[in-house]
Amino acid sequence: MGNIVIEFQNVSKTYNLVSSHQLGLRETLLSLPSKLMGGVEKQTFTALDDISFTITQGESVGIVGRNGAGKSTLLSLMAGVIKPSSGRARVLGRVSPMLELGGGFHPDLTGRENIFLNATLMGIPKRQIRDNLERIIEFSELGNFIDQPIKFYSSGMMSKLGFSVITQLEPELLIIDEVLAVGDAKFREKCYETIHSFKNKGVTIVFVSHDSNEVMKLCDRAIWIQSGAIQVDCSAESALTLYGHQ
Amino acid sequence: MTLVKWHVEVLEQLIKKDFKIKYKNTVLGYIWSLGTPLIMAIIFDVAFRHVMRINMENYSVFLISGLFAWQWVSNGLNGSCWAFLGNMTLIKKLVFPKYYIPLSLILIDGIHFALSVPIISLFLYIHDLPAFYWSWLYQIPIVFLLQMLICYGLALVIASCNMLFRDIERVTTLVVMLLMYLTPILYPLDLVPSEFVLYFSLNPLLYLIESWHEIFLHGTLPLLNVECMSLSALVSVIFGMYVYRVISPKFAELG
Repeated sequence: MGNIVIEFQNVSKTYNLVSSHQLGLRETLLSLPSKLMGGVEKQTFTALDDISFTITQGESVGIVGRNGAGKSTLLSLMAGVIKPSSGRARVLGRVSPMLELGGGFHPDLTGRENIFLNATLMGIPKRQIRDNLERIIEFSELGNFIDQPIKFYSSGMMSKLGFSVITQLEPELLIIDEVLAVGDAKFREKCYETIHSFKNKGVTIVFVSHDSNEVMKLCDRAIWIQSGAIQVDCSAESALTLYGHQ
Repeated sequence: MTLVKWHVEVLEQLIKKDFKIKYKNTVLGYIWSLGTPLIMAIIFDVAFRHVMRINMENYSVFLISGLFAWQWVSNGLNGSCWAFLGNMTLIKKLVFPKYYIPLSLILIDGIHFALSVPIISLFLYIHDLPAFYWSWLYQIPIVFLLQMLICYGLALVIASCNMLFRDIERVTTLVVMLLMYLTPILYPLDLVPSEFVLYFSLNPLLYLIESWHEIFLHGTLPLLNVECMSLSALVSVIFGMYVYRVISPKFAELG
């Protein structure tokens, strides 16, 4: 077994359904007395409930589950952008997250400018970005559109740009949400090829997809999440069979 | 990549981004940054010198030497309201030192202020006043740095709190406007009735603006001002960092 790169211990995540920022200052101040008296109970939603698992170096793990099961919350916790409400979520090494279309980019900047911004914020040195710039642009197939602000991009173009940046810059831990679904078939094929080559190189991969075939092809292991809890965590084949027969 | 180098590169990228966004789709671009305080100066000059007949020597130079610095304060604080909210696509997906976002905005306004110093010099020259003092070489950087720190601390508080309550935006606009009239920018401190001077002197921005007046009009920088500003800068940055530390773990859930 390799080193542990992701370790979740009894991780729960709850969200306040009507939180103070939606109320504004006045309502918050007005509701303060009753809150202090313990009169009002906050409405909460438990997105993840007591989740524990570990992922070791070089593993490729698929996450499956229906919409709203908590997959995206799980990925955001892995990426470190949100913190667990309780429990401990530990992730070692540089994370290359591709969580959402347009995520990690600024809509007003061009594709080229966003490559630098996004990669720098992920922790990649400027020189390395510059050296790989042409390769990234070529992989993205965006051509002249690379110098257009990305707010004008279609969802397919956005997905191409995002995928090109994270794959062409030596990822350590690749987290991919269902963003490939919008790319055209040819580009998707190219992406899967790239992901498979990373797998062979020993890059840890966490992959969320509704495409069972792709999960089966890529992942050795799959976690099925339902209503915020782990339903099954075993080999991809068994997990997907169980998930398919629910 | 070492941690220090990463921090430098993150700040560099954020500054580049904010510069590009600031001048995107504008024809006159940077001219606005110089033009706005100049036009304000003309308006106040007409209103106070010609209409209200304020009795002061070189009133227009006095106005100019305070207004550019004030523009930095007011743009910096008002702009910081959306520092985090305007970058949610980044904050929700990537982990990086987010406290550099308001710093980048403050620095950009600071750079604009620095570029306006030659304009102030020109005004001094037109009014037959010394257009340059050698002492500026250390005075301007000192006050520049202190103003940057004071604004940065406040910007962190405003930007963080605005994530929780959008009311902060409205409050900021009002308070900044109020402060402009309560700081001796449009009138000299001598005109303030003596019974109010004590209250006026509680305003940390008074020392800031007075310092710029002293520097540009006399080439001097009273030690008391530096002391007061240093204290304000320290308090501001510590308070700002504290508020940021409390609220920032929730940023990605608040946008």
